[in-house]
Amino acid sequence: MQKTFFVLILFVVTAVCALEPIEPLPTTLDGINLEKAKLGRTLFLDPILSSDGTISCASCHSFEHGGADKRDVSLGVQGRKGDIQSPTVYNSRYNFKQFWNGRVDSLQDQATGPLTAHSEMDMSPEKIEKVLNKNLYYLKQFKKIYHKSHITIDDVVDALVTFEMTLVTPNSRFDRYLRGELELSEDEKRGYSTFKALGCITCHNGINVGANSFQKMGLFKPYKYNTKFPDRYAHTNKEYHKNVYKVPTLRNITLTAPYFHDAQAKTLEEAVKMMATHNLGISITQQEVDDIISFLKTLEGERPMILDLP
Amino acid sequence: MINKIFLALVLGLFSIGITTYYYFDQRDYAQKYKTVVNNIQELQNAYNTISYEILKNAIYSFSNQDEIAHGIQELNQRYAYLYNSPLLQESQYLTLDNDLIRLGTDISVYNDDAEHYLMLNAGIKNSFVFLLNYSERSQSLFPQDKRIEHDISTIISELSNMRRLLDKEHLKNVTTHLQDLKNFDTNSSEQKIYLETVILHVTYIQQNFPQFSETVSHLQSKHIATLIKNLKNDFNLIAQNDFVLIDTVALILLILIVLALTSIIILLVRSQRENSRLKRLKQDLEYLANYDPLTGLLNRNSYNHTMLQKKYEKPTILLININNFKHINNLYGTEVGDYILQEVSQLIKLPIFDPFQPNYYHLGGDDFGVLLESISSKQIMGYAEALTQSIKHFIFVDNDVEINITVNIAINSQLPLLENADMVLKHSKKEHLESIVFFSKSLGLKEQIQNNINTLQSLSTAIDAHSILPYFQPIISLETHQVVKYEALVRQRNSDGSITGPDAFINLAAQTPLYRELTKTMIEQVFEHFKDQPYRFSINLSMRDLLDSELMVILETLLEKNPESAKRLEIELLESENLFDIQATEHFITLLKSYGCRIAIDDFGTGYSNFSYLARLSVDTLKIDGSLISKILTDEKYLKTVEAIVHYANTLGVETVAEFVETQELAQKLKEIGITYGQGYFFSKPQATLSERTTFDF
Repeated sequence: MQKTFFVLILFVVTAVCALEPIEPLPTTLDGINLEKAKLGRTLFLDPILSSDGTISCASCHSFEHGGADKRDVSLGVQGRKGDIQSPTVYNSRYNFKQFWNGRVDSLQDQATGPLTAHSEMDMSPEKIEKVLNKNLYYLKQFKKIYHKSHITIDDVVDALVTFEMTLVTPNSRFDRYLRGELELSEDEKRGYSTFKALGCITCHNGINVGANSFQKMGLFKPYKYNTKFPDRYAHTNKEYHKNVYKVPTLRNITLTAPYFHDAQAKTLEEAVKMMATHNLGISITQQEVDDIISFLKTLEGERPMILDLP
Repeated sequence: MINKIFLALVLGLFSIGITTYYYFDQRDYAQKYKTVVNNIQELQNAYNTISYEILKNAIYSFSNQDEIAHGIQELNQRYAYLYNSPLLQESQYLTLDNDLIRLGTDISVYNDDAEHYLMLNAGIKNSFVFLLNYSERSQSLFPQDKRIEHDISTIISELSNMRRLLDKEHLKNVTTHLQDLKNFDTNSSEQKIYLETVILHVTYIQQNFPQFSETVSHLQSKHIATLIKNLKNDFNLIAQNDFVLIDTVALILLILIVLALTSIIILLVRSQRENSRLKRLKQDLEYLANYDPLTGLLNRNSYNHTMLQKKYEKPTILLININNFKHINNLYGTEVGDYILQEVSQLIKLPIFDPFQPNYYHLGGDDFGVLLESISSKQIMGYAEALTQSIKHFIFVDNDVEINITVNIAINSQLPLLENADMVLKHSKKEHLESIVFFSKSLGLKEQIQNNINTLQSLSTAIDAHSILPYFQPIISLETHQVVKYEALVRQRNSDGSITGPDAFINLAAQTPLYRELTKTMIEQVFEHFKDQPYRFSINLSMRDLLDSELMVILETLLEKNPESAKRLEIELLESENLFDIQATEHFITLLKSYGCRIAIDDFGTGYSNFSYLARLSVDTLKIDGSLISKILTDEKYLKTVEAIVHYANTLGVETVAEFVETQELAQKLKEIGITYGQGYFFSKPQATLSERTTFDF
């Protein structure tokens, strides 16, 4: 008994002494072709890429809402409803997989998803090429940057992805704290400790504070299962993947309400509480909730620089 | 040779081509090989990273899972590279397909296991953390019931052991204690919630641990590590063969290149040799073109070349000719002749010539030349004298036979150098002049030669135009004063009607075929002329005529046709002929006598006068040379000589004729002495017709 305890204490001590499980975002980006990124920005904001010319990427990944959508589900062309709450496009380059259910590995593979989804922008690669090749502005821009007189879907995706690669939100209070540039407030510190102590950190870690593993919604207390949401099971057909989603990033979480794949939590407080119940299997005090929210606020970074470039 | 060059060229090009192809091929292969090896290595690294990170994740309460995610991404990417690598698509690597496919399947399973592990581990780990933190509250919540505390700590202990040892057996114990907790009747809602929460987490662990441990054991199976290792070994085994092949090709290439190089070197050496052979040949040819191989002196060609290039500003040539060299060759043979030429070629190289840039030539036959620059005529005269002396006194010894030679030297500084020297040399030899002669324009040799040519031309024209005529000079008996015979003398009638005597052309003609024509026409005309005349007549023949068998046939034919005339014919043989072939003369005389002809010796008393052959030859008449006759009145010695000749002639019963009888006094005197006949201007000049007078008084 004593021995067991000793071992467990040793375990905890070791854990505390380990490196911080969260990594700050880089403050500079290497290997980015700025011209391509700017072209990608134009494309990202241009509704020409939707079948009825009403929807751009930014319609559902709004820069006013932390790269996400404040609506429970986004509305696509012809007012068609999307099937899941729009995840943020910020820092998506650090996601281990893309989409809520992680069905693709790379941004390249992700980009054509919303472009061609019936309920989103409802295009096809051929249509995109056709539309863009008729557009003198894009013809000129692509010619200048890709040195081709014909725009291809690959180059469109490349420009978009290059832009997305620049959507990084550095210098959050927490990142600066990690770099030793500032001290957190007592609330924030307490919040971070609680975040770790309650086990949030187990899934929400790494550079993106999440987005490096899958997890089941309702690990301890079952969470409402609705088959209309494309979960991991929809991709793998494995029984244990039901209601399993990619652990979302917590960076800029204060900006991206509502929360969860089904937008069930309208506020951060609700979201924290629901997580405690369903995925930690604990009852959480209001103090703990407040502290955690204080901590989560420190994860809000700077608006990506590319957005404010001319 | 061409074929060999072609072969070497083809071999060289072939080896260059093959080498280039080989270089790119092996570079390509090396690159592909490196890519594969690198990817296998990275695959292994990614796998090791994941293993390490999973271990870390299991041990630490908080850990960054990014590394695992990256590791898995890397693992998949490397595998994809490997699977699509061009090298492994090649036929010899197809056997690796099994390894690759098995590895791919395993990696896919490993992906799922890792994902699943992270999901399960998160819950289990959190539950453990929760239970550890939470258990402390049991004491305050359940102060009266130690059993609860015991149950909880036993459960935690068992679960911890189970987690550490990955042994599901511990769950059995957990189940009974968990049942205790479940059966406990709670007093308060606080107690209820506490127990429910504990039960929730323990149940979670209980339910998920079997799968967790299974997943962990999958992850730890090292199956992938073995597969990677196998792939690496199998790949290297096949690659080894490829490298052996590459090595073999390299060796073959090396041999090929060495062969090509060797053949090129051999060809180069050969062509070098051929070149130097040609060079030597060229040198030899150049030597032969400019040098006389016998004497080693420069030759005529070289002389021409030197003169053409005007290498000498004021050249003087010494043309040296060996006298009677033809006789030496005939007498001693050409070998001795060559030996003498060789010796002479050395002898002419006098050290005194050295300051005058001398060039020594063997100009052909027995002619040598020494070309000198800016030498005064006084100096050269002395040097030439020295040269003739040194050669004259040099004794050429061959097989104990001592030979002396002499040379004639012509010196000339006037262009054309050699031609003028040659001319003056020939002239001097002909005229028996000094052994050293200078060419000078005043000699008029050129004009003389031109005159000779003119003379011969007009003679030739005259023969063709029948303008060669016999003139006749009567020969008078000094006793009877009557014309006894006529001497026929040749004359040329020129186009202007003037008449030219034989002195102008006879010697020249003697050197040409014209001479026969001349003699022939004379004989024919004279025969014709005297056919119906009572007079005896004489014709002059030279030794040369005697030896001309063709002419002799003509003469014989005439004699046979005119037997009467033949009896009146007298042939005058020139006593002064140089080469007197006594046998031929005897034969001739015998022949002529058989036709009843008479024989006279002309110009007797000059030249090689020799009484002895008179005795041998059956001569009928002696014509005493005019140069003796004309002086007998003034010089006693000549008188005595003529008297002696007459006495001698009388003794032999031979008639005598005196030429050049120009005065009455002389005619009287000759009569006194007892000379048989006389001829000369005193009686009559030679004339185209016979004299009208038959007697001459004096």
